[in-house]
Amino acid sequence: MGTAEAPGAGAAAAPVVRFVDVTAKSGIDQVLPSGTDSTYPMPAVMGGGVAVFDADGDGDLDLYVIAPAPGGNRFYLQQEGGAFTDATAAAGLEGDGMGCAVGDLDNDGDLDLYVTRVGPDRLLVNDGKGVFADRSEPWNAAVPGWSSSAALLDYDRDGYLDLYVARYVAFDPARVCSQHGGRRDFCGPTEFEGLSDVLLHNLGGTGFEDVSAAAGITAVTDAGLGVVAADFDHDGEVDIYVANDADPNNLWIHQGGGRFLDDGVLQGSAFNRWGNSEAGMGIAVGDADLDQDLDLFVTHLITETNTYYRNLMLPGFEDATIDTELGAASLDLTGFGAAFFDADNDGDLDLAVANGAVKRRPSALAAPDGATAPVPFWADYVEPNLLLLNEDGRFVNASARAPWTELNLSRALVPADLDGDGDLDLVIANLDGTPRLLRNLTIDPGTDGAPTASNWLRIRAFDPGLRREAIGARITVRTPDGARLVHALPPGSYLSAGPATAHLGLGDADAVQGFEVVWPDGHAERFPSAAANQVVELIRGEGQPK
Amino acid sequence: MTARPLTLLLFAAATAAPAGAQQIPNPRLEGTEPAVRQRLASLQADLRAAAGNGDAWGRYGMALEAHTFTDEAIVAYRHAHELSPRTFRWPYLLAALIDERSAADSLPLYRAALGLDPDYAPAHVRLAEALERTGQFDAANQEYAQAARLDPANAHAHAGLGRLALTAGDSDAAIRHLSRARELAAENRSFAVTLAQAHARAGDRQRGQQIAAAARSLGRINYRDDPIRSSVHDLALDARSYLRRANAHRVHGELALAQRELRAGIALDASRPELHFALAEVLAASGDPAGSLAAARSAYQLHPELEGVAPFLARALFQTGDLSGALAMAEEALRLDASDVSMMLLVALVSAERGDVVRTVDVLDRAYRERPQDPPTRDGLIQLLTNVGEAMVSSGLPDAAAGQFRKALDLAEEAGSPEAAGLRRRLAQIRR
Repeated sequence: MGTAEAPGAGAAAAPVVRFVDVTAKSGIDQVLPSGTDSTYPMPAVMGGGVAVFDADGDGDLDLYVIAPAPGGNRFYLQQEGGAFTDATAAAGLEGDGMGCAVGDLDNDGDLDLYVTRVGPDRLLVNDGKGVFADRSEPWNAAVPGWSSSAALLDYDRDGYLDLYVARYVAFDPARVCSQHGGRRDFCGPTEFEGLSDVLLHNLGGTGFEDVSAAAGITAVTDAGLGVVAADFDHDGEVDIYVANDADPNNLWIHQGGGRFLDDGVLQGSAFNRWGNSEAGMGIAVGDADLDQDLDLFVTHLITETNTYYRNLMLPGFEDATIDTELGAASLDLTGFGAAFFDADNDGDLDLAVANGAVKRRPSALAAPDGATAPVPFWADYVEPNLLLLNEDGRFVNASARAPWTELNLSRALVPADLDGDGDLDLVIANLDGTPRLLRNLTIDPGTDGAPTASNWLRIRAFDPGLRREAIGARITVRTPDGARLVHALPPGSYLSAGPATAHLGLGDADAVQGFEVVWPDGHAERFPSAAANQVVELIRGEGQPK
Repeated sequence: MTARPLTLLLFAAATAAPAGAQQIPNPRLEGTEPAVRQRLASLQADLRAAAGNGDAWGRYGMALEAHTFTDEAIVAYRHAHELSPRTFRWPYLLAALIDERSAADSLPLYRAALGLDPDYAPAHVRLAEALERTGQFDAANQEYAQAARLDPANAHAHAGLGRLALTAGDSDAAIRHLSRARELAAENRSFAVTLAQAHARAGDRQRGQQIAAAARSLGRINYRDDPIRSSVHDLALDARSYLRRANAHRVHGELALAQRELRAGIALDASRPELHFALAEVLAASGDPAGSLAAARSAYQLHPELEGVAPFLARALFQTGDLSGALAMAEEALRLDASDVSMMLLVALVSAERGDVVRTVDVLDRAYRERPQDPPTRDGLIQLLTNVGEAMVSSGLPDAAAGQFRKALDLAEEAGSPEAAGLRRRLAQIRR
């Protein structure tokens, strides 16, 4: 539930959701360079990725910010006390790119990085201490063309993480695009041919084999941007959902044996309610309606609403944007990164959306008093981000106050508990601006600003045999309010990656009664009850087989 | 964000010229063609002479809307509706514009219009869609049904009934209505994919797959036959209005509609190169290279220096296999813009194709000096330098080849490209 403002007399004592921009105090002061210029290069308006992960294994979350401009990437190590220091060169993380995926690709107990680019992608392997080495060539990971988002999955259940790379368009920097009246502007995806996506099969933690054709995914050449991998129909096989820009979205249903079939049209998630393909950018995934399956939310262009696809488990989805009142807030904005996350730890999923136009807006938005002026080049493109709070299945726009009124060109968005205080903060990448760290300072009303007393759990599904988190594990948590479904999935809606630990708000409940985990290979285990407000480790083999 | 239209309306009101009690909204006319200014000035003069005439306000609103001055058109239509409350088209046209921003706000206006003319089927469809967007499915169903009664050939009415049936879980009814919609508008992809989904929901996945596969080749199109609104668009006197509408369609991938607007604009004034150029771009994106080339030639003939047209034409010629024409046009483009790296690359490609190594290398050097920071250019250059280097190896010129590989390696190392290792090995081989 939650409110953005203090409730009036007689209102339920819902937490007051409050985010504070702590970037200035964080030590993060480098601008994320877009690389744009008078030629309006399209990658400059589409880029802006971020990874939030524990790079050096010290238990806190570090940041890797990815810029489209050459040499623009920055790596920040979180220090004790919460400040960040630039460790780009020492970590071997110079370069440029669009987005990233983070996971332990060689099962050696640390997190590796896959960086998507306009040009060959890069695989950066972690030495365990937060120093990365480029292994793109020996791993056969240098996917060519314009790659956007990437998702990790173990589709063949061999214990090694495979990689799905969404690719965008066959960009031609020479193509000149203009608005009416001849004023130059960025090109859109329909000016270029779309590219087929790439599926890389992990060969035992030593390299990749491109299995795209055998998997069937080269059958379509759409302008892919966002991607998530999860078992949407609970058949035990991991599926893949791709948001395409102006093309129908793909729902690649795993048929088994490494073959995928795009069933998006028949399952109602390729087109919106009106049968239209939209400018799909980012994807949020989560059980938004608390019915034990994964729903999808896709962000879109200005004049299109963002779209919420409710999972009906027919199998299939329905566009329930109208029911959830998720349309109106986005009609005048161009959405990119998005995440379902429980902002107030009340047990349901709220939404945050990063926005910023890709072409000049019909009219520029005026920055609120006291807000930082946008870079002049982007004055006609900047937009505010959105916070949408879940109130019994309807989403209420709670973006009327800073930092949500600030105007930026925002792209990647990742929820993560940066300060380890039990609530989810947000990291947002802004083109030609500093990445923003929004600290969650949600309070309970009438408590003089005391942090909310709502309870929470962070759940880590760990497979000791693989020495890593079990990405893709499906976890059902028995709470006093009923069963809740969470997944061990790194949030990665648009060019981004985050921790694969699941976060669950518990509201007033001070404990949960138990867990059931379906591991990625289909094996299921039960785990006993746990008290709230802690990180629970569900270690494979230590539960009761189901 | 809903404050923006209001702000604009207030701005429009603040910049208005007086006409009796009402203010005449004055659009910003910078860059507008004389014919448009003249037309708007004439209609403003009519208004000053008869500020209480609702139809005069309405005519002004239509002229404003035709030339895409939407905020000002809303103000004018509102006055027209107040002053001529018995005229159907003023609340209807006002509703349609308001609907683009807020379906909920358009509902009373659609209802007011239909109170005056309950027999105009497109108005029932628009009201139904606004009701559907606001979640009032039962009321929407009634309006779609009424539209289908009034005009049994209205595909959007049948599609609306089908969509609502699908939402209600009645797959059989959805299939019936959507099949009818598809019969009436076979080119409409939206109807087809929703029908495919309905078949899948009804358990007939095979039929659904057949329809979905067939729909894949259809373009995105949302055209609705609405003579009253079409008559407004047809009032446009300038190319820019058609171009604006075409651009709006292009942004959303509605290439067929963009083509339609551009062809209408060209029919109005074939002397506007930007219309031909935009048509060339749309046709290229629609997979019609021959049509695109013809339109690009027209644009170039009308205005050779129009930004982007010469490079576009050079590429179109290259893609259709006319290397000589492409080379000549690329050189012309470079004469207009000596820093155009893409044209340098094109010249290099054609030169390499013809075995002119010296020229290829010269142009590549220029391109690299011009734009060393651009990843796509850089990657293209690396590839081209490599190709030229290999060609030199084949021609027995290892020293020259090593120079090309050295340049490619420098670029790859600077970019941190994984190709660097391979280039380094190849360079070592050549030197040996």
